[in-house]
Amino acid sequence: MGWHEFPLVVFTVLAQCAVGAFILLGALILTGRLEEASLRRLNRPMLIIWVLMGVAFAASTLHLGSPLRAPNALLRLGGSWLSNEIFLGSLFFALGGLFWLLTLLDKVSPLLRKVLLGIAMLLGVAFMYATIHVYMIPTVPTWNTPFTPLGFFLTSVMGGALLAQLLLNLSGQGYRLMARLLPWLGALAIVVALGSSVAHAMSLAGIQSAIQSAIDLVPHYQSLLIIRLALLAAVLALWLFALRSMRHQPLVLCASFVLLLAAEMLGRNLFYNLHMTAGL
Amino acid sequence: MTQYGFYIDSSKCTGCKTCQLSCKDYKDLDVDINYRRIYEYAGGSWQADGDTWQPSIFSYYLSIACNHCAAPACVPVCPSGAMHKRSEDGLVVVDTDTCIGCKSCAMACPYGAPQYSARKGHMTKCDGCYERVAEGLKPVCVESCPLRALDFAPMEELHERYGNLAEVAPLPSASLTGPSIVIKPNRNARPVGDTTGSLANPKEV
Repeated sequence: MGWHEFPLVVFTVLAQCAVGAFILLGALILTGRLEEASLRRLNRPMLIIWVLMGVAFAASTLHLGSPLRAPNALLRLGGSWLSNEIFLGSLFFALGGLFWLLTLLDKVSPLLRKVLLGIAMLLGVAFMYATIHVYMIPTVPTWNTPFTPLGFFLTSVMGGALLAQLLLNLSGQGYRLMARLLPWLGALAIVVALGSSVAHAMSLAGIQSAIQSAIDLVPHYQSLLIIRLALLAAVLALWLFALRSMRHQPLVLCASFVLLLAAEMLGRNLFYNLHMTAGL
Repeated sequence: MTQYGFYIDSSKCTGCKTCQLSCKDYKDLDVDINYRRIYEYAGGSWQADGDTWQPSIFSYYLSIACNHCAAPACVPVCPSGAMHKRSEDGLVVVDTDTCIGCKSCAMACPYGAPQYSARKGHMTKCDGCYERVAEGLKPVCVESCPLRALDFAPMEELHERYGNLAEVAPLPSASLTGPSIVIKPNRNARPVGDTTGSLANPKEV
């Protein structure tokens, strides 16, 4: 298995986790159940979301042969899904980051900030939608399947829920209803990920061109998939363990999130290695 | 718009790769870049013939560059617009001053035409020798073929002279991108969608 698309692995996985966590925490903020003081306490560790987005975008430029020409990626906005993805991702980054900064500095009215938050959340959804379409290429039979949007969505849900849990925990708000619901969401997503990746692996048997079979693309695909699924099971175990034990909760949640990144990056790398076209 | 295209006579082609090399020389390409690639599709089986078994084997060559498709897969995915279809001759060309080297076109093309040059930092591909074509010449690969198995002309002329076949194994279905090619099949050619053969020279393409 090659790692030649590692910059894209980092970009897509980190961005999906960041968007997922931002939308979940944004929903909590929009409900208005957070007093001003709690909001400010939660806002501070949310910086991690923007650090992840920064690393994601920095990694994405490493994918380019001519990184200095990166702005040219916007030239076909509306026409190419890659242009749309970069545009919507940048806008999400900018407006979400602005919301974070305004909350930190306590500038402009809370209502205006909530409007900004809502727009940033919608941009996050649009960004994820564009990423999916970048890979739904009709001439690439191994990517142009419902497993691509499902896999990307599950990364957002699993990574987003765990990251949101960690951020709530870091701000001392692990008692909230949302913090108690997040493990259920994560567990559900992980179970769906287990089932769907097995179904996906079996579906590969039916994809072939005259000179290439999908099942021959990645040697030891099944073993690597089992490693990923074992990592995801460990993620869930650590997550639940962290919430049951009272001590070192942020540390154990952090370890769980690192394992989740490893599992999803392995899974995403398998995805990129499954590239083949309908022809030569 | 005149749509130019290639004629590929797979019944004559011996897989000598002169076309590939003349192109490499003319375009000064690196070792790992081939604007024209020669695919050898081979296979075979045994047939019972009374008390004996007879082999039925096939092996034939397809010399494929860029097919300058009517609906190219590489163009819509390009985020910079560097990959474009020229309005004057229908040739699909990459603007090397705009390309960011994201390789999206290479991911989408089912013929392996756009290739990334790590040395240059951008995509490269067959441009149909459009400068030669504008002077009334044919692309270098066509003129170099010792078997006279390649031709290049407006598609109407190629259709009139050689027919309409644009797909045989191991090529993808022509309905995907509308390749601007006409193929004269080898007598052992397998229809598109065939999976009984295999690529006999994977390291050469």
